[in-house]
Amino acid sequence: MIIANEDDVTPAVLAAMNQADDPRVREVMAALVKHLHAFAREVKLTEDEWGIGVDFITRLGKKTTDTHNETILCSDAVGLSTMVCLMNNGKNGGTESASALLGPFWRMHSPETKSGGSIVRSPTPGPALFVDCEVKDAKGKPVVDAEIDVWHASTEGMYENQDDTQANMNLRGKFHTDKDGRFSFRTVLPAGYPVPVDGPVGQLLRAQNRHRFRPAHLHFLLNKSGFKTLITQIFVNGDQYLDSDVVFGVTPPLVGDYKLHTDGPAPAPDVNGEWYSLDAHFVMEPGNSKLPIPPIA
Amino acid sequence: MIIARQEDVTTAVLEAFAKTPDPRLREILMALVRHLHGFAREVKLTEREFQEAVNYVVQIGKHTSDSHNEGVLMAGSLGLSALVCLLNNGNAGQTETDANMLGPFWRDDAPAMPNGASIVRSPTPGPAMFVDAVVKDRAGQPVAGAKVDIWQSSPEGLYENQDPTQAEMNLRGVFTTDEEGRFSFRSVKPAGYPIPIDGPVGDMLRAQGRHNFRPAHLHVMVNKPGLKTLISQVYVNDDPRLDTDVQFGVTRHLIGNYVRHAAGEPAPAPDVTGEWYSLTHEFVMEPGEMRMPRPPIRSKALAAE
Repeated sequence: MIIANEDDVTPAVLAAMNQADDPRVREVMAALVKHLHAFAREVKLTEDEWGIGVDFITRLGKKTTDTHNETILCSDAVGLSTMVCLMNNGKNGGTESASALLGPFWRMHSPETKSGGSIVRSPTPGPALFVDCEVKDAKGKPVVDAEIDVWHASTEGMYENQDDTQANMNLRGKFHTDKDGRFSFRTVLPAGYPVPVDGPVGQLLRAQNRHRFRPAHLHFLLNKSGFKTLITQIFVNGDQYLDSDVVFGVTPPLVGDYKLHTDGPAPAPDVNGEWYSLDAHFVMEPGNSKLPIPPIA
Repeated sequence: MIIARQEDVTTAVLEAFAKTPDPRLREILMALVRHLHGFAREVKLTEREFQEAVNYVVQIGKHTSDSHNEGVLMAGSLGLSALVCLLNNGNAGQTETDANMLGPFWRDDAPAMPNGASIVRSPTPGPAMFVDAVVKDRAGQPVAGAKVDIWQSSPEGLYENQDPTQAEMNLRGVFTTDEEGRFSFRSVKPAGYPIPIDGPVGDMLRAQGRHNFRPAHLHVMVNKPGLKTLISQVYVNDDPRLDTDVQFGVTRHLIGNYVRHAAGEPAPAPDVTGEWYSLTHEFVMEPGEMRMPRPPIRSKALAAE
């Protein structure tokens, strides 16, 4: 249709988009356009502001590389990622969910590691952490031979792909559950860390007077055919940023019970000083196992 | 706050955003989050769809270069650009306006030309076109001494910056209105053209079964201190795609009076053989601030690209 005035723009766009064969494409795009146009109308977006917005979007893409995904970071920083996560897990967000964000740092091919092994692959400071995990299905039966990816930041708050001083795949590993649905590994206690602020997301956070920290956490991705792929994080209890996570990722069931040990024998003889232990329990929901698109290569 | 349920996410984000010191930025970002979350809830966006959407945004940036702006193209293809243009001109969309979208092809360094000159700088096929236009203010008074930037695609549907076979700045020029507010120039009749579909915009159009053409048009930008910078497009009245513009730019008011003249009819220049076109148009500038937009591209595509 030919547009006569401002009111005509949205119907003209919806009419064009209604030609899509796929009903889901029609539904998603029509809703996107309605909300996008309503946003512009509500704030009466100026031409300059439109330009700043378009430039912001193109800079998200330009800032994204094989080792950093600025677009996911932005989606996280506006709460969209957590919302999509909670809507699609734990009975449409109606109940507590064990799921959490994938985040921008998962790598597809982390090294296969024996249960009980260490994922510390180059000298990494910080107290030792021994993690014991148990994976069950919704009925409480152990999930045998599930594949589990573990990844986390160093005590200095950097993932290995961000940090030249760490070995390739440091603090990353792939495990399999045994006949009791268990696996365990050794690592160091993760630290909270700042998200990168040298791109458009940093500009946004500064303009909003927001801090840029995530509370400390371990990432897990659990995969086994017949079960919905479980992507989760276990946050360190007591972290000062639990209630102001810059990416809105913390929910109560995901706060772990990391136990500090100041004396007594550690699970490994070389441990000096204080160390931590964590017992983690995962429940996999029935569904399709499907790995996400890796945010970085 | 620690999030307990899906519904808490928007509250938690709005709480964090409420710290934004600049009131306008706060207003925009809070509205953006409400609508963005509202969209995701309405369609119950799946995790896979979300990942694909993130990749779309990444690709918008990756496909933007010094000679192409995929972000502007996407905003146009979603009708956002047309909406913002009409919201900000013609009494907030209530009256007719000459304002239209800038598009992704304006360059800020086109050469100044005397009135009546040709902007055809290298051999370009297509019928000759003679444009005679006047610029007035809202009171109907001529606007003298205004700078008028003109740019258009060739009859093959390519802007010079997309096409190494055209001379630098072909079909671009800057004119100055005389004391009666008039400017004139010679060109060739523009053609409709396909927008590039080698990026995410192309993926979207294919999924939607939409064609990727814009109807033929002439771009005009008029600048004069004391008046709002006028960005306009005048569409060719015989184009078959006037009502399905992929960028949603065509408004009734901007369908131009392009008049076809048969071969042999006396033309304004003696070298014209074959049919030719004339266009007359009156542009009305609105009160406001003269402000040049930021150029969406900076250079011409290289032959190697």
